[in-house]
Amino acid sequence: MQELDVKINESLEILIENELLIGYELRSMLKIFKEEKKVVGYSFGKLCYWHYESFTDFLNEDIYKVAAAVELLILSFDIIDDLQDKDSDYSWTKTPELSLNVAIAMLVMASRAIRETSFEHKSAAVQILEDYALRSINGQQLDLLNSCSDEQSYLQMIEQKSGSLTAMGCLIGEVLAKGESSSEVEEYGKYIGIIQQIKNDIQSLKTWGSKNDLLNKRYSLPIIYLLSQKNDVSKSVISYYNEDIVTFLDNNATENELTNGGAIRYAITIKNVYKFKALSILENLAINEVCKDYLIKLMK
Amino acid sequence: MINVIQHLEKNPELVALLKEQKASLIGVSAMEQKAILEAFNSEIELERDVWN
Repeated sequence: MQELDVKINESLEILIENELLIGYELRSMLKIFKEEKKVVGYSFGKLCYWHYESFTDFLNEDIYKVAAAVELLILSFDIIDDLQDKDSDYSWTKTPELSLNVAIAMLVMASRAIRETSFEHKSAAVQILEDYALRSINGQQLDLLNSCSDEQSYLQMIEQKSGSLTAMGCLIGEVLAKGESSSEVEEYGKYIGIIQQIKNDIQSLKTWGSKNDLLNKRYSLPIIYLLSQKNDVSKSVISYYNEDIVTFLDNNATENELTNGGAIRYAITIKNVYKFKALSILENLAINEVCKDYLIKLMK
Repeated sequence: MINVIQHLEKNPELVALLKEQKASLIGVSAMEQKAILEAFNSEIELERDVWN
């Protein structure tokens, strides 16, 4: 675990331990869920920290508490998403009713934690947290409706669902340091979320299991490409999606078409477009090298 | 973008011409063209790192 992850993790532990209004049952579940999150690292909290550090002259140690608050919100969204999609095996999926309650508690604790810090611009930070959380919830609603079946509507949906959350992390750090946020940071912040979502979408098609978007009749860029083709495989996938006839998919033929027919390449191309857009904004921004390196890794 | 990729998949010789800067795609920006070429260059990586 990197030093910054350790700091954010410690702040999360303190936040959970010091919340007096929750009892043992809720607290113990919060701790368990937080431990599971620790394994994947705290990318959103780190986006917040690095942007704060890049734009400030004086480091207020409360920034770790804010980064932990951002992570609490992200974890609550992850839990809710998993409960809605029913495609994960994290411990929170075992007791959905209780886990939903934990997620609601996390949401409230996130904005409360920022309000309790000593930052001059904490109100602006809470405002960003609430605005971008709502945008993400709106994107999630569109995703659940599964109606974004063309390139433009799909990209708009993931910009709201995923791009809002990465932008939120960056902007909270920036506003705490400067008292204002910039359209440049918002823009590349959104692009990072879009890039990561496209990578997840490609990954989801890797195995033919419960997480496979195609088997679940969900839309993503490679699937939108596949459905636009006029060959036997795409015709069979269209029938499978339309449910007009009982269709058995030939997994090998479908996988071959996705890999060699251009679907994955198309998704990678769109991802690359966002990468180059993000890099060109980043190029002209006065930001420290550690932050820049971290962002570039997330843009690839 | 779907149509562009589809067209290039069917006409791989065009990709070679694009790489050599002997052709260009009408209605596609320089940044998009760069994104396309990088995607066509990442075939081996795609097989190894992303897909398998």
